Amino acid sequence: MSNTYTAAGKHLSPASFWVPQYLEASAWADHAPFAFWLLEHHQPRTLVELGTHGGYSYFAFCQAVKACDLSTQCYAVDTWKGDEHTGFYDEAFFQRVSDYNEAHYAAFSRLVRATFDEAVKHFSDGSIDFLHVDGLHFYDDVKHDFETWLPKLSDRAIVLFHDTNVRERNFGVFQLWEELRKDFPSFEFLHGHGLGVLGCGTNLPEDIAEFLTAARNPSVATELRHAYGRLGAAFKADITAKEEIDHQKERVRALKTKLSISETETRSLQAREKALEAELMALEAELMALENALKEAATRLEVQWTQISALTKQVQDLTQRSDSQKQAIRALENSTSWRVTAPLRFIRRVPKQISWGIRQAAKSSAQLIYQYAPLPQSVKIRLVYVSFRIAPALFQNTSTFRRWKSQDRREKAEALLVKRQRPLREVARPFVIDHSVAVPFGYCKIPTPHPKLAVICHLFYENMAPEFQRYLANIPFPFDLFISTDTPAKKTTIEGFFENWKYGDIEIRVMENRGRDIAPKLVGFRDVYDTHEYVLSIHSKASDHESVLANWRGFLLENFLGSPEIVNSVFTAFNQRPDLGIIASQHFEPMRHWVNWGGNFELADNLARRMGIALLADKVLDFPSGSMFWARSSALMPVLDLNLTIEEFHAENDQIDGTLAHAIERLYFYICERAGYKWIKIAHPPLFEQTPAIISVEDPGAFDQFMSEHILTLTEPVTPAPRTAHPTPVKSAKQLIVRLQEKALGSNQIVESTTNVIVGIVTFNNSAKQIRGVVGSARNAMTQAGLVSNARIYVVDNGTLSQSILQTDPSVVHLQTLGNVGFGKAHNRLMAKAFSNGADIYVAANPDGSFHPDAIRALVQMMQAHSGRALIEAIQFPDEHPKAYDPFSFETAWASGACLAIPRLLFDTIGGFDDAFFMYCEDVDLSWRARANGFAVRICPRALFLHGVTDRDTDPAHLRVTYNSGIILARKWGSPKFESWLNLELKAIGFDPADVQPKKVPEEWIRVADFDHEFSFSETRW
Amino acid sequence: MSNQVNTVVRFHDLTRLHELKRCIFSLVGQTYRPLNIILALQRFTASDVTAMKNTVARLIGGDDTITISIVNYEQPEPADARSALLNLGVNQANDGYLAFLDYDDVLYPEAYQLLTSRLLQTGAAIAFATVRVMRLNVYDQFLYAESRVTPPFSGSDLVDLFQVNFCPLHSYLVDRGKISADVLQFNTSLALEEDYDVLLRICAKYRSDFSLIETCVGDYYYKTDGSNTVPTEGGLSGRALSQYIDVRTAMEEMRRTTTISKSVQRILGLPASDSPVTIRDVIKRFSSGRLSRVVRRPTSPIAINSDQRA
Repeated sequence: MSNTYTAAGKHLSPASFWVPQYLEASAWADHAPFAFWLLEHHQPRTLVELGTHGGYSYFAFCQAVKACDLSTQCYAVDTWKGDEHTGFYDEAFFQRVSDYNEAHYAAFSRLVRATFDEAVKHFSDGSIDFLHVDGLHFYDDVKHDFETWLPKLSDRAIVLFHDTNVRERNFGVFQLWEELRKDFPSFEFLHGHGLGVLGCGTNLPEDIAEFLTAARNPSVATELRHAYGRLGAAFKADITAKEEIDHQKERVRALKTKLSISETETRSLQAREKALEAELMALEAELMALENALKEAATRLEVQWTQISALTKQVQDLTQRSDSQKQAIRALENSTSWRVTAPLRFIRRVPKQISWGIRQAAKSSAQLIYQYAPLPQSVKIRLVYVSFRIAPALFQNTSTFRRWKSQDRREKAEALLVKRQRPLREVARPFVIDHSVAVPFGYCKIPTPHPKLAVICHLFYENMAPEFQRYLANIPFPFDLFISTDTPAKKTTIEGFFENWKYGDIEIRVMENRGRDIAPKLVGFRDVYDTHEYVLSIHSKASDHESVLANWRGFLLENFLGSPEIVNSVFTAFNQRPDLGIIASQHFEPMRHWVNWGGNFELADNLARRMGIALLADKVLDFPSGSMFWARSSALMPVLDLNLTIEEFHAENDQIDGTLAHAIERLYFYICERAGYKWIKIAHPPLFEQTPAIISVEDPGAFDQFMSEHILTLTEPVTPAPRTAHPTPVKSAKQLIVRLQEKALGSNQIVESTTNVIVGIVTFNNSAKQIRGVVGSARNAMTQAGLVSNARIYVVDNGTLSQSILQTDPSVVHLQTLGNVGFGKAHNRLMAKAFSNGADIYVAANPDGSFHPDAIRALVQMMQAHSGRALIEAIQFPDEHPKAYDPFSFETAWASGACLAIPRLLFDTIGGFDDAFFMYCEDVDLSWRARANGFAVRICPRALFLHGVTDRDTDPAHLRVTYNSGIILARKWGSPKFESWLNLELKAIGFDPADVQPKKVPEEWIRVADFDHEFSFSETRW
Repeated sequence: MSNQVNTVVRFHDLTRLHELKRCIFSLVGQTYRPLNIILALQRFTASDVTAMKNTVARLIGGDDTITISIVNYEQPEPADARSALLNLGVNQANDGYLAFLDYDDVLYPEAYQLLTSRLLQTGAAIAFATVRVMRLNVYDQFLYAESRVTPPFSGSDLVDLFQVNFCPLHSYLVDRGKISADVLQFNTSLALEEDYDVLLRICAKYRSDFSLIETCVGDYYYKTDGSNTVPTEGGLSGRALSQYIDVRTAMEEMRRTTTISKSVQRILGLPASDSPVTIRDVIKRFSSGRLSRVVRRPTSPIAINSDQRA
């Protein structure tokens, strides 16, 4: 007996008693002790497991590899999708295994996510020392696996089979095992569903060969089975205990979560209670809310009243229904709600001046409450949000409001997305029969005589003016431009942008921010339609609630206003076809899948009835998505004749659907048909990569043919059936991106050789190498831009003199030094000199940087693209400033003075840098002043300006200058909070704030300032 | 010995010229001089080679402290000549310093100034710094830096490097005069990690310096057009898996068979011994508590060095 124990004991070692680190319920749980011993003595070079599932066996192997410090490369092969024996499981299952592997064994273990047959190709013949087969357990499958992988086994190889002792559920491993054990030395453990050890190699390691030989002795085999069975059972108990602990922990977690939710709800209820109290205290603010609500209610009531009127008319024609309708009307007139709302109708008549007074009082009260009321911060914040929602006009210039608004829009967009996931009725035409005409036509020409055209443009976002200017320049004949916006400050900015407008008369009107672009166009400019035969309807569409719609506006402008030839095609079509009323753009493909009534049918139906149009919700629909189009004024008369009032439109509340404006957008083609006209859509083919049914017209006959064959008439009794499937959205065409960027960058512009560019450099104790570097690179860049005869470099020294360094350079002009007068002041001297000497553009450049040879050309091209009304920063390279910029318009919040192109017009209009700043923040101040006065602020990523990265100053003296500049900026642009913060920062490094009191900017400019992002003064990219 | 920095820039796709220009501009912007830019091209036509020469010359301007050498790999095989291009460039360099930069990455102006200083101060044969990883959108006319990315690997010293390659191609500078020519030959049979292979050989034999490992000297770009990363999250398959397994096997073989020189053993503080010590032995000796220091991020792609990433 003792002998046989001794024999079995040779095949036990300390490793046999290790505890598995990865515990998981597994049919393999009992075999870990043997696995540890086996790895320790076999020491395979390559280990492969087929069928890893939850990883118990595999990680036991890995644990042994790591503990024994083996150089084994381990591979786990599995699809991790499950099978009919293990059940099927989700991605999280794999992720759990993967995470554990990465965390513990990434140095030598790799998960191979593939079928066994796919994976086998990646292993060389004779390369695997250790194979564990634990995949599908049907006889045919396991046999196939073994035979497929057999050539990969080395002469040291052993193969483990699991489930050799299972004889149920059609398991067939035992059958294969019976066959194989006849041909190879083997041993089988019977516990834990059975584990077969097959010695396939002809040159097995000595310990393994000895094990397999010894195990032939039945007594030894019994003892081995007994010993490893006992050891394995212990771990199984551990796993069971762990499962129970996990289960209990999970219960505790669930209970804690429940408790936490209860506590949160309790806190929320308490907060709600306090918030309600706070709202009561803010009586003035609530009055404001009430007033708005009453207005809304009154509007809705009027709409309802209009419906009743329309219904009454129908009732007269339909005798049978008339009694019930009349009863309904009488019932409504006698209803409690009508009587109750009588005061509302009174309040609507209260003069606006009184209303304004209430608003101001409300605003003041709200501010007082916020600052001094002894309320918890959470209640105050809620109070603020309530105030924002009910009285946005009061707070729209504050940064807190802008942040809240942005958040609110995102939340609404997310809510709409959720809503859109519910199926909406499909009413758009199938893609393949949604015909459009290719523009430009093959036969277009400038219309003569010139048509009487009014461009009606709503610019809520006044900073988009340069973009509209570029596109309007494509209209090859004079026209009248009518612009609306919503504040006098924006009007001033827009006036700045259009100061030298040369394409016709221009009129800018300020209108209430209500009804988006639609109300200003149809109500605010109602008179324009009577004096102009044609209109172009455009607006500063932002669509920032959906990233895929980022280029929707650019697409529309590019598609129907992208070149003079396109505009000529439009008027060729109008002239050839007097029956043509509206020409709109084919849909922007990323939004085509949203062509439907949305939540607007009811509103549209009500309005349509007033125009004598009958709608059917399930009939095919099309409309000029984006509400931009060319039209004959008379084609819009049905809606113009309704003489809509601004109050009929919903108050602005960042709606993205369900307003009268959204309803009218969907009715334009109906309106056109009601006026007796036809409508078409046009498409510029390069902007449509996958859109079918775009028809080219090379002659008038072809266009007539299009009009006779492909026109859709929405009001005809029979129309095509709508699409049956919701289309998959597609991305913007690459060509659109290319064109938008090309136009905004001006990269298609030829640099005028007469352009006079002067680079200005202010030195401060720079090395000769640096000064020669920046001057040399500036000269080279101007030469590359073709500006040889008009390019000069002006230098002034704020520190040590540099004249001796550059004395032989004829392109350099030195100004007399005035000592260290500061960065901005020194540049102002250079700038004044440059512009007085005829410069068109002054480029301020830091003395420790270097121009890319193409930088000046890129800056001049972009300046030309912006008609000289822009402040343009050359991008810092290689380490860019993280402030955000738009990669299509290149708009940025402010332009860095490190390398900055300043046009003469800007210097003449707003001057140069503010001398109050000694150094830093003067560029931010200049940028904000530029924006407030109708100049674009852009970054040019084609113009690289190289600068140092790793040696930036962060010493206290340097910080002192920086913080003091920030304080001056805060004082000038009205941010006491920012100033207070910097005062504290200055004190922390032992300095007092500067005693500089700059002149404050006008109140209406403050809207462009951004003090919410510390010294970035902008959203940042990282 | 020359004090010139020779930088080998591999380039294989003319449509990526604007990216190469940024790369070269970052070299021209180095505060260190003299420089020799060795542009290693993959099967360009004669006229394209001339055009490339003009392009680079235009970026250099009249700076006579920078020289330019252009070499063109013309053999039809292998299709992916990533290692061959590096060898071509290395053979073109003089006995000064040697550096590498892929056409779509950039260096900060102070990079070579910092790295040469370390080599001079320490007498090391190779000095390492680190680079920042940025995610970029590639447009026709410019690159848009979208965000910063956490690097997939991190490490801080020689033992970490023996375990995982955390040093991108442009994060180090070699003192070529201290290294024998055979060590500096890239293995053309490797589809991946050919640079790691050379790094292991250099660092096993010669003194290395990691004192700038916290200092960024350049940017490594992940481009969202997929031209330089291999998506491997959730496992590998197909050719990439085969390549990976082959490379892992080869690297492990390298660790087992490459011996550590006596001087490096002394630097590592190993006891004097006549028995050969391999890289694997060093890893074993220092592995206790160290493996966890080399962090492999959960989303780690195989870091294919950029030039042949298309």
